[in-house]
Amino acid sequence: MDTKWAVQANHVSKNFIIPGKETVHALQDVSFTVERGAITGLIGPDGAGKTTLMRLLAGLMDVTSGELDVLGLSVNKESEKVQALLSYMPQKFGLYEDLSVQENMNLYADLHGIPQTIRKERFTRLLEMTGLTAFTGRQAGRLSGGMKQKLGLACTLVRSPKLLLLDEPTVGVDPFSRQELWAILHQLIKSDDLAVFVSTAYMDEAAQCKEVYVLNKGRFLAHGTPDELTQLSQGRCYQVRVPKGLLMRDVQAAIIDDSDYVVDAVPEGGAVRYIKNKRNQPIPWLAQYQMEEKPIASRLEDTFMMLLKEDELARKQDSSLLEDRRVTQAALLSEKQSSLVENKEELGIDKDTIVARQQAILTKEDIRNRLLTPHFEEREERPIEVSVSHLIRRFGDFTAVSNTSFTVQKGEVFGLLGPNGAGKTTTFRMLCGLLPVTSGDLMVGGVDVVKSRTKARTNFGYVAQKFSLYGTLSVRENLNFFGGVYGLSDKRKEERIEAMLDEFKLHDVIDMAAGELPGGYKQRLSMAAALLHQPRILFLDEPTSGIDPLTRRNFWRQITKLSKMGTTIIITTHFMEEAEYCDRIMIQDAGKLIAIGKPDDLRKQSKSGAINMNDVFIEIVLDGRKAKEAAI
Amino acid sequence: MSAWRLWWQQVWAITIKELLTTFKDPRSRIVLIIPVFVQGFLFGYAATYNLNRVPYVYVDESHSQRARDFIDAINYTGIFTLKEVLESPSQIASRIESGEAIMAVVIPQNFDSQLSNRSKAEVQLITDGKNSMTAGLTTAYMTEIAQQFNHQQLGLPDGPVNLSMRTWFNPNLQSSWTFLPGLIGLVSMTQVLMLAGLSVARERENGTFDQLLVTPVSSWQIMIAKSIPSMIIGLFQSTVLLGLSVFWFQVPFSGSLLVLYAVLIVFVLSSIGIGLSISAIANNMQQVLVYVFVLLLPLALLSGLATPVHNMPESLQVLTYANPMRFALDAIRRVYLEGVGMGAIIFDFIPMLVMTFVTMVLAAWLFRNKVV
Repeated sequence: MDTKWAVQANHVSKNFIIPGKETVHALQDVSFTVERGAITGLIGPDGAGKTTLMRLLAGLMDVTSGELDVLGLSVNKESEKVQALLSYMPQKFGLYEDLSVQENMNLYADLHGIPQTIRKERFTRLLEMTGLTAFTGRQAGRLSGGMKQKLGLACTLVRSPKLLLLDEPTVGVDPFSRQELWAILHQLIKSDDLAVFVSTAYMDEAAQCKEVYVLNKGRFLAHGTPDELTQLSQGRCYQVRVPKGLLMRDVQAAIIDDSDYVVDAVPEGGAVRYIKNKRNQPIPWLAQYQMEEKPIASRLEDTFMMLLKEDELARKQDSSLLEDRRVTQAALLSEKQSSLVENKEELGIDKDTIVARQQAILTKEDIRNRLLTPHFEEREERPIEVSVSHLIRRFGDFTAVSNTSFTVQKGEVFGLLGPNGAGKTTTFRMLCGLLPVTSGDLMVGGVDVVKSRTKARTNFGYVAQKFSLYGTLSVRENLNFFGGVYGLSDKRKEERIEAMLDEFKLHDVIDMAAGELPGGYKQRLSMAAALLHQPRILFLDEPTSGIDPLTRRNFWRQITKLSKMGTTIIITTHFMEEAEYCDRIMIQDAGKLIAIGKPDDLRKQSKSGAINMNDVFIEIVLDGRKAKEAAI
Repeated sequence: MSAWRLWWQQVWAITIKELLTTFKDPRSRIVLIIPVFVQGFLFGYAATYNLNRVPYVYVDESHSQRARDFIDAINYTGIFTLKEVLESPSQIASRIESGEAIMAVVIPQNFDSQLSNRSKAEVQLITDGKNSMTAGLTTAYMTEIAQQFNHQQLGLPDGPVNLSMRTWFNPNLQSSWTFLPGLIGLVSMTQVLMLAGLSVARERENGTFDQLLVTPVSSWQIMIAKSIPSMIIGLFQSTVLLGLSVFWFQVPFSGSLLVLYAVLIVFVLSSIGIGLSISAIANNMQQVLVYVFVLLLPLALLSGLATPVHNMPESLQVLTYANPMRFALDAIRRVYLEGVGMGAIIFDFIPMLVMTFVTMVLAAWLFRNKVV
């Protein structure tokens, strides 16, 4: 038995044969190792095969071909022995929500046959480590998302395994809890000589691993230490400062659109950071808009995005058919467009539709020009779309939202941020009329939400955190339904459905049941359904949680476009770096509004001069808590 | 577009969606059809409490032609099967105890002479009381036979006898006659409670209810749209059972279809109201199932389906006023078997309508004001 490795995989493949459908190659010829006493990371977008890999390791499935040794044993032949030595925490860990924290731990200890004699000592240690000592009597269902994950981890660890498998343990968990969870992992590998294999969507987490594997569509794109991986994109990362009068997300959109030069771009710290493609040539049009590119040091995320984008590009070139299709569609659209402009009076189509159509057929340069033209006056005098004053919501004795007031302007992207349980979901639900207010005034889209909720909702579009369209209905049936309830006339409904199918590229899946769509498609369908009636205000509840970075970029590109067209967007998110896309953000903690303003304004509030939004957020929340304690 | 048209367009969109989600799922399609037939046949055949081939013995101490005629009358019904002719009444006990016979008939020595004198002839009837239901029914059948025998032997005119028979509405005491019409109510209520109950809970569980609540539709629109598919399915099932009982079990339908469907519509409405209220209270589908089962048994027991309501204790009788099934059952049976018109059952409608109104208002309010 090799003592250094906990896992050794040689040329492992896994196929799923679905009768009547194409065989799915979930993993193709992957080889890797997991070291003892270290954390090994697995990063990759949705559907990369991360969960399949985890389940193979846990002996829950058999490999199609290849050798997979875990702790010196062949998983295929001795899966039960292997399972006795490892612990696996699936993405959704099976906590019993009606049982208390202690009862859950007892149950898992019973299930794994942990002798009573060692339980007490181990429970004490696990509870202390996870910070749950004070909550042993609380029902698991009443814990916050982060605490639930920590309890899941504690339950997984009751048996003190040799290998710990964690499948995206921090999805939907706030930055504080993520930090705490990782602190636990570091402590574990030191004290227990444990091997940890963890999949994650967060780059800051991947950076904490000793070795990282990048997986996409069943194949490893690269592996190495975080530093080695970071080196791969060295020299291709640049930054431009955003000129006055322009929005960060508009500049980001313009840059990411130019795939001739760029593979990825994100707004960050008041600038736009981007990665160039293989040719690594200067972007010619930047100077035209008084922007200057500046090379910067690369990071792990840059390498990840670069690898992914290049892999996608390579795949796309294989299927040039797809491109042909797109061209045909664009041609069709421009035909429709010309007839539209002529008949717009009779058709009664509003200006927004025309603008949307026009934008769809504009050339790349036109779009860029639109994005990069300052709109000073427009920005200053925009009407107020959402006005909240003295909003309060109580549940019994508990005040979830206390005396909160703010306004949002038309066309603004407004972010609601806060740790789990801070009251942002409650605020959000009151704004879109899902939850009655205890007291306070709420005007949304010029209508009093408290008094006439039904009327106010005509102006709303809503995308829930979890996919919540009708899974058994097809894409078209879903869109038809929402067109119907939003009261679109038959003709307008047809038009809007077509427009949404174009916009979100859903033509290929039109007759598929919504529930069977791949993750990215589901998200696009949710957006299409929410935008069908051209709402004035779009509510997005953590739309990007559990979605890979690639899909997130596309999502934000849509948001930029919508905002440009005058749609007001209210969004909650866990990804602090996404706050950079927002015009303004509001941070809540324990039901109180503790900060509100532009991302740059909030950065200025940070005393330590933090630039990264995640650090800024953590500092502001902690300062807020300290101030509160001092006041008491 | 006029406000009214818009209103209905929205309701229509939800209705179509409800129908699609219900019928697209092959499992729910099966659940809507199979149980109706299974329960219909089950109650029609197996769960009836009318008797067949009841084993019996007799002792004939009179040895007369009239006594033989009486025994013939018993055998003629086809309900009783003669096991043994006994010598003396002392043998009866062993036959009953061993279960060989459920009933014993003792014809006294003076049977013939008493009848000739037109005075009372007492035939002794001994039944196995271990199953009181069987014993009671046996006795009832025998009373019937004795009465007929009397009339035939004593030569009384048929007229008044026939009249008193009709008040039974079930001359052969076929329990399927009272059961099947009752089943029309029970089965459609079970299904409608489930369907309406699960409709909102399923959406809550899938998160689609929030999505629905942020659209500009009112609680009443959701309510109406969710009621329509349940109504269609409830009426469809009632029709299947009605057909089954008329054409398969040959229980003659003597009333007006129009009146029957009026009863069914109001009854299904009240069931939908209860179902939607359950749905609005419950947090998930599992809770709905528990609530429906907890409710269904008392609703069925207190409906008079198996035991007459007027035999229940006073306090329970008061409770039955909240039970729409009680009134539906009464109305359905009377329309079906008695053939009465609207006027006779109009009071059955009132409690059902009150229940519908109360539950619907409750559900509509809970849709928006329940805090999960």
